[in-house]
Amino acid sequence: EKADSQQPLHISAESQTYDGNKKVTVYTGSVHMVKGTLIINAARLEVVEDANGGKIGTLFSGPGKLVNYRQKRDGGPDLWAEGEADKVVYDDTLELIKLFNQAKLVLLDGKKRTHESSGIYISYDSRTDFMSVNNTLQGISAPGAGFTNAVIYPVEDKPKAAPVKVEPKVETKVDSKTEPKPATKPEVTHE
Amino acid sequence: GDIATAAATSTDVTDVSSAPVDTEAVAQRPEDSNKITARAEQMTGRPDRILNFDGQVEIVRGPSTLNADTAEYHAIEDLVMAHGNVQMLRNKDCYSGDTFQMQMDTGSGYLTNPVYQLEKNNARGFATRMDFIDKDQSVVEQGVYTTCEGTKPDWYLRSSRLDLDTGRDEGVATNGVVFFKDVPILGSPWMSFPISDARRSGVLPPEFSSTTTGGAELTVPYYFDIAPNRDATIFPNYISKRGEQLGGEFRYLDSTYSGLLHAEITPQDAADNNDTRYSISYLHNQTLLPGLTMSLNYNRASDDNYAIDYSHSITQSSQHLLPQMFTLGYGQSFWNVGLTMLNYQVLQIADVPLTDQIQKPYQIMPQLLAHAGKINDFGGFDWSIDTQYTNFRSSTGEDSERFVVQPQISYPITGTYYFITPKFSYHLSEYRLGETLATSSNSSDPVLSVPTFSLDSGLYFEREANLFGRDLTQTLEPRLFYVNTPYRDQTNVPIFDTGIADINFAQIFTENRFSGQDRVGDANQLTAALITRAIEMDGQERMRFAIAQRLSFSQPLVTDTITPFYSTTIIEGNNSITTTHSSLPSRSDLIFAASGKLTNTLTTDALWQYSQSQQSTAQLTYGFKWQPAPMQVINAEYRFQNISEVDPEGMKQIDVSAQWPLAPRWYGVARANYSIQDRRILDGLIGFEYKQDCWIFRAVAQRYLVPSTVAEITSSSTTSLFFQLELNGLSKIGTNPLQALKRSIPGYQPINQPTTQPGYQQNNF
Amino acid sequence: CGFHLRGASEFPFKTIYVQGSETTPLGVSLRRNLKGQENTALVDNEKDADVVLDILSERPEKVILSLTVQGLVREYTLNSYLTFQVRNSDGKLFLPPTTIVLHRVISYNENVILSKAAEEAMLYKDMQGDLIQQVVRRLSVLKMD
Repeated sequence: EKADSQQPLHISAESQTYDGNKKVTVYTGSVHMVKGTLIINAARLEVVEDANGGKIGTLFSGPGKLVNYRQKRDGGPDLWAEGEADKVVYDDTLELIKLFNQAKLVLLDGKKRTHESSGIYISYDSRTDFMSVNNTLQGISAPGAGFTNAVIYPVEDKPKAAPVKVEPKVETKVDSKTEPKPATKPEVTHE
Repeated sequence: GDIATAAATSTDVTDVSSAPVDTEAVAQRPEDSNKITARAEQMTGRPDRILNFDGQVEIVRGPSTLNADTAEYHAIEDLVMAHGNVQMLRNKDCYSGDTFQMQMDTGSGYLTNPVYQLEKNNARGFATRMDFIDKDQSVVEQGVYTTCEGTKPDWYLRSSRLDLDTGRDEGVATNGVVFFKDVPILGSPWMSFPISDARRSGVLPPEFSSTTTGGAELTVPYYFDIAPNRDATIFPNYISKRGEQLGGEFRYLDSTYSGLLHAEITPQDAADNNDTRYSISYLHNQTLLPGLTMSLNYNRASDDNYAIDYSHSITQSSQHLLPQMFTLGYGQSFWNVGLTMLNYQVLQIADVPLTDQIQKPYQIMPQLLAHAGKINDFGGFDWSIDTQYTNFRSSTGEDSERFVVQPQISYPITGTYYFITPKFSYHLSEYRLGETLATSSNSSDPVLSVPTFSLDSGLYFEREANLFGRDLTQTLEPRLFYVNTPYRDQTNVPIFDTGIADINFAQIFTENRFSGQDRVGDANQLTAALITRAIEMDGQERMRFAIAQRLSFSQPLVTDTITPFYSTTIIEGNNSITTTHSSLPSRSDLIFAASGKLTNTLTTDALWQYSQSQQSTAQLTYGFKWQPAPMQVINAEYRFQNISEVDPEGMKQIDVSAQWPLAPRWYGVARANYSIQDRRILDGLIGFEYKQDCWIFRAVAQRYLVPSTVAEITSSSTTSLFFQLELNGLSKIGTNPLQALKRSIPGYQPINQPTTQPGYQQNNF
Repeated sequence: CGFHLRGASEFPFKTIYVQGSETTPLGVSLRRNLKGQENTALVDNEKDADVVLDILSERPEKVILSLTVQGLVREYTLNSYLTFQVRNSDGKLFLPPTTIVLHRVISYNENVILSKAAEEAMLYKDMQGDLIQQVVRRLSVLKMD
């Protein structure tokens, strides 16, 4: 959600190395990246700083476990986005997330899934809620290069053109502002 | 435009495995049923607002699958829009076009220059635009509708607007014109048609036929579907030789009553010095109270020749006694009472000699009857008492009354393999004759009292057998039936409602050889019979043979004629030979009968009755029906009736009928009922049916004898022609000959209906 | 030659309910026949019946068979159609809808029409007895698996 923009970026991992001349920081071992409601877990993370100091993180999946991502969305009290992929690129300044290979993105309203997308490449801009799913890794669809899929659950009671109704507040176990514990394996609980 | 084929390729939507959220927590929600599964080469947009799909897009929701080049999904309005060779498959109806929009929830939307193909009747067509009103209804503008395959349909309906309702199976075309081989054959501002043969109000296609008595005829019927249990048909009719006729039929059906009124009137019949001619037929049945039923059957025609002049079928033209009957009946478990009023309007055959004229039957004004009877009463007796009071009114209006009491009691002794039933019955009748009858039978109130004793007995044998190549159960049922009724002189008892019953396997095990109450046949007669049946494993009776020998120990004397003999004349060349015959029944008869399936496709029926005492065959009929495949049947039957007092000319006829494929798509139908002694075809029919995949053309000519309306000529024949063009899924144009075909050709099957197993006919005696 | 007296034909069920044609002559005498069977009871509601006999339709028909040379009717064929099915109370079909057709021929003459009406009734009654026999026979060999 937009509120995440002002949140600091915390990263925790088992080990961390820094390569001066390439200006690349590499975190390995159950990497846990948090920014406001944005949470990404992966096996390895490479953070690069671009010219004007903006950080771009590339997260890699480990053996048998894809990178997974979760973030709160605007437009409703309990809207969430969750995704997973083989590789994830997160651009901190643009707050744009890109999922590569076996990419899946699920949008939830509380517990109910409202939308699922899957394909070889998914990009999602949480600020504008804009998503693009393409059939090439470059993020531009080429005819005949394969298919992307989506499942949409039209909500019965959603009034047609009326604004989104406020869902009754459901007490969620997870406090939206989870403070990361330094350097120890974080206990991330999912509903 | 090319008619799209419904080639919805089946795509396997890759399995969208769930994100890290564990799936068990997310139960299968009801709204999953209308979830939308989409596939495309690219998806962009805001999922909660508008999502764009591009590149071989396929969207599946419930029974509908949409394919297009590009599509948009508006989440808020639950609306899908698509562009570029759009193809939508909904249930089994397939639509393709250029631009498409549909509100997925209600199913309303539109499709521009659509090409559609519906599952029902293979209906298809194209148009400039198609509006979907809801899941079943759609409106096709400037469209073409046909049920023919291929790009050049043999027939099609072009209309400015076409309302299709696959839910109620109805199509309504406004300003529709039907083209057959590109020739307009039918146009109407408003025409409803069946997508299947469900009921709907509307102009029915015109019917034209021609008959010798009326010439060419054109009818344009209009059908009113008034209510689910009420409908009516009005048929204005133009008869070339007679002028305008208006006919109407009204039907109603309710839980306690039902009825049908049929009326037709020709204000000025040009062929009959402009007289007004009409006919009415009204049937009504009603259950007034539980157990209390009423029925009315009233028929009336304006004049004697109406049946002949206005007949389209033999059933009408041969109807010379129009019943006008009212009955009331009340019954409980073991008794019932009834009232009947009956009169017949006689449509006399034109000025034939008096002896050949139809005598007007007595009017029954009224008849009261009461029946009471119990079975297995006080220790195993079956008893019943029938009492009947009838007032017979002659054509001169003279009343005669008859009062009849018939008690009977029997003691059936039955076991699993035998039965013995002694039975005593008594007939007591008293008459109050009208003056003319009293003089002719020289007693004004004759009395008839006759006791009857009968003993019926039989055994049942069975064995497992292998006949006709199948394992069957064969039964053997010997039966002995003895009747003893003393002779009573009944010559002074007039005949009101009595005649000699036909001899058959039902009649030979009854006590009285007469049917009706005015004669009790004397009898000292034994009937021995042997019936064997072949019964399939599922209990179906496949074949039945029976032989019976009837022996009268003394010559039966009671007859229903005034004089004990009758005479018949046979014309040989130019001299006629008159012979007299005793009207006393034969003393001994041998009866043989067989009926059933010899093979799965060949059924046969045969009946032979030989009178040993008169050394002559009384009746002989044998025939077979061969039905090797659906829509292929040949029937052939020989029927011989010896001369009798009721039938002084006797009968010797051959009846052959067939429905047979003559060539691919061509079916021939024919029938000839040929009278050997008269060397004439009494009832003939010839015709063909040409079947294409989406239409059928039928032409049938029927020729049957009708009593002559011109003196001296015994009968003239009427020819009627039926032409019909049936456009599958649209309508039938022309008179429907199916009724005549089904009546004339046993086993006939319409060639466009799903072929069902030919009906299993059996047991003709 | 293998013939033996017919043994007791037992129905392969204990209770039967007949649905349809409650007041027609055929319905009444069919129920009377079933009531007469020793080892099977005719019950009056569907629930506690092992087998339900549905009389779907019963239709008499009178069709012209032959004409005289004057074009008048000489013979009619009287047909009796009976369509029935056998199922259990929750709808499992033991015997799919089956139609039995019987026919009898009756001569006809306008001058004895009143006696012909009585004869016609006798023939329909005879066909009714035949139809009932055939239904009872089908029930006695009913496959209930």
